[in-house]
Amino acid sequence: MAVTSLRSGRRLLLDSATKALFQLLTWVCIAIFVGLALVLTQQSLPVLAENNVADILFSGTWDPEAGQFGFLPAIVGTLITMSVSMILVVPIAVLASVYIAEYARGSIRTLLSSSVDILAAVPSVIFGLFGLLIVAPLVDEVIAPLFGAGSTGLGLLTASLVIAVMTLPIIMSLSVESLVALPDSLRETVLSLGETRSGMAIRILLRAAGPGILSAILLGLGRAFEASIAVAMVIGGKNLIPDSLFDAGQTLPTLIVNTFGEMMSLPETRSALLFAALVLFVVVTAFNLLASFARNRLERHWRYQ
Amino acid sequence: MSDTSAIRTENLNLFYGRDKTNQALKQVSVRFPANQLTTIIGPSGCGKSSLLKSLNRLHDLKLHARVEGEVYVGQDPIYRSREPVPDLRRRIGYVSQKPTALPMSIYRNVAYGPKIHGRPSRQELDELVERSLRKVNLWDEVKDRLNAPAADLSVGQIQRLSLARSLAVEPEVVLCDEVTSALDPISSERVEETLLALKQDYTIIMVTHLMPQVQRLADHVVFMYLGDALEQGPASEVLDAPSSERARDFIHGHGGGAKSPSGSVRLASSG
Amino acid sequence: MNRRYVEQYLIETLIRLSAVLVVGVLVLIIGMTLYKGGQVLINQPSVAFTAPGPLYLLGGSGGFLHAILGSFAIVLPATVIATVLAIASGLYLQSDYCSERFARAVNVLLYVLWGTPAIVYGVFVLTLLIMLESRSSLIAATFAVSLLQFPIIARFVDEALKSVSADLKETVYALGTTRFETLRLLLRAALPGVVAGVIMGFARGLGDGAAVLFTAGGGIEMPSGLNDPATTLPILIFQQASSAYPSVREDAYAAAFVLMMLVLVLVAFSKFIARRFSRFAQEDH
Ligand SMILES: Nc1ncnc2c1ncn2[C@@H]1O[C@H](COP(=O)(O)OP(=O)(O)OP(=O)(O)O)[C@@H](O)[C@H]1O
Ligand SMILES: [Mg+2]
Repeated sequence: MAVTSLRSGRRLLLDSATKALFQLLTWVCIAIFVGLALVLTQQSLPVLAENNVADILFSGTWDPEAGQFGFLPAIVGTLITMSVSMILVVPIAVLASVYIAEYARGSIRTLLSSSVDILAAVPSVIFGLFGLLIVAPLVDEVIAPLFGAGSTGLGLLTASLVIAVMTLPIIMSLSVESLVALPDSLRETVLSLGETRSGMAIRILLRAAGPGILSAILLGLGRAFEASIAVAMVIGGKNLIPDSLFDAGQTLPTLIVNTFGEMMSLPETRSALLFAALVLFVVVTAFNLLASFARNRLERHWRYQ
Repeated sequence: MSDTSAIRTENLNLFYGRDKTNQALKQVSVRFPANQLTTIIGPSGCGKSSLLKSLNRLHDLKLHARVEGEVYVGQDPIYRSREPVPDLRRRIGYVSQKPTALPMSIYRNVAYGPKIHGRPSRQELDELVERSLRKVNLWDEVKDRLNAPAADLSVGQIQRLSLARSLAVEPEVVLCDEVTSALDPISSERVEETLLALKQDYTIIMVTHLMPQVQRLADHVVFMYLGDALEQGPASEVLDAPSSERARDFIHGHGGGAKSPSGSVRLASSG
Repeated sequence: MNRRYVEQYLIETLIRLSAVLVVGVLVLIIGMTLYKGGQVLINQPSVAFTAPGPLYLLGGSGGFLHAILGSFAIVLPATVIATVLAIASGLYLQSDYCSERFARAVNVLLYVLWGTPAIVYGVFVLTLLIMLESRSSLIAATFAVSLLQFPIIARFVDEALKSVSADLKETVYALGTTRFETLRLLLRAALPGVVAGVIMGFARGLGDGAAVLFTAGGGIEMPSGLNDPATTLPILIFQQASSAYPSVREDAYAAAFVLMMLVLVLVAFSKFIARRFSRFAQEDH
């Protein structure tokens, strides 16, 4: 009797001890990440004190020596590369997902889904090398002459193509997942009406999987925002508002990558770049939350059964 | 030899599973007379739905299903036919066991089929939608909210919508898999009336669990057991004087229908 | 032909082309790395096994052993830290230790962190270093990488724990176990998923360059101490690729070859574990 209660006393002690430990570690994580948000905010204050937020966001002049920190070129570059890469990647990713989910069978299916998994794991610097070795010459020698534009190969278009490739796997794996999750009864119902398989895929399945695919695209967009190193390798790194897709430019992440190292010693520039990081953090977070919100919301409205 | 059969199967085998070893239909040769209502009965998991789906080649899209043997629609061997499968499926409507609303409005659910097959005018479509919904007694309930998402309907309403949707493409044969399973007695009676009325123009093949329903509706009965079509024939013969003991037990309710699906899989694959 | 079948033909062609394009891109990327990197490594296999000479990044002699060792020296401990935190918080949140509302709130936080750009973590850690008047070092990079890995691993842990059925949990509780004992059993059941997640986290850590770019130091010294600068393969490749010396640029492909191989092996390993795991889970279908 005494032995059992002693044992169960020890067990309960262990139970509370682990609870305390897990709780502590969980709070450590939370604290670190709250700290992250606070540090970024607090460190951006100096530049915000000197300059108006609107000036920073909408001025095109980046001249740290003169105390001018216009993010506009980087913001414009971000918007351009985001839109171009999404326009390129979304149709291809969605159609290829349809192929994997609805057409591919057996070993081809395994091959394709492993390709997506592998692509998802390729380190971003290697995408950068891919951009330098393959995409840049392609843009320089094939695409730019096609439009009669001059190009060094490094610029917004090259960056967009690299971003498109980087976001391909995340969009695809989530889209395939939502297509595969659709019930077979939906497919049977549609086919029984005399619909073709492709018609079913395009008109019904994409719509029924719409919430999942939309959130996949938003997550892909979030991923595109964060592409920093690979993009920095191919975008050319110029703080000027670009005239064409073939121009060199800058995005928010590449602004940080390209300038942080040199500017570390200048407190005000550092503060400006931390503000850039904060903007990036807020925007990406907004996109990710929007993605999950969109999914939940649409799933409720868009139910197919 | 089978001029009165709208559909017949010949030595139909169906295998499920990655290695196609799980046999759900075994040498099934049955005939479904034209313009009659045939019910397929049998315990759960015996292959009723599987048989129904093989009649319009729905197993084609399954990753792990293989069909052997042949199904004749009229004189046409559908698994060897040159006719494109979508055209075939259009002639053979199907209402799934699981009530399914397409992700669009009620109106477009019904209009979807006619729209892919032709270019009906707005007015023709309106009429067709109304006619189809009236046939299944759904019109009065939904006429004021035709543009609401179909998913907002109740399960029983979706079941009737599914029937209306497949009638809208004007098939020759209608396959119904337990269409009254989610309905209250009154709606279910209405659907039964609909099916009886449709018999004039269509061949109807329905799966059901309910013996009283079989007694009320069936002209012809097929009894399935563990993937075999043990009995078939005019309703009066099969129901009144079943030749096998299994069918007798099932029809008179001694221990039939209680087999769990997994239990029958095991039996089926070992047999 | 019916217009529907023409449409079908066109759509299916587009669908197939897209799939081919995806595979093509992958083949290009892997092929490029293996071919270009392989060439360098075959001509001069020693670059992967020798320390860099003093002028390595300026076209001098030596190899990039420092970056390979640096990668492991930074990412291995980071993975351990991230894993401990991820498992602890995963168990804490999924167990009956905390309220459901708290768990849901923390899950949103994890979701946000999962999507946070690596560069933000890098910048954050660098700022801390400046605030502490310290400098880039191996340990700072380890911290940054573990910040990056934590949400990734936590997500895998969470999914693995969720996939262990609630039935099991109740069955075990019914035996009169404490929460901790129950958790141990749950964790054991979820172990393959957790291990797969840890490996994926490790692979992501190895492949990431943005979190370490400003925090590791990135010189050409072999990693020597926790407070000394170190470098990783992605940083090295980034530096080499923008070099003015062709021979240095060529070496980037050799380093990329090594990095790609490491990551591919890790991913294959993690898939293998996950596959075995899912086969067990599917057996009772
Ligand atoms: N997609 C599938 N994959 C593998 N096995 C299947 C599949 N569909 C059905 N089966 C198996 O085939 C057998 C017949 O199934 P079927 O759905 O035809 O039964 P049923 O007679 O319609 O049963 P119920 O009355 O419960 O609907 C069952 O043993 C079932 O487990
Ligand atoms: Mg059934």
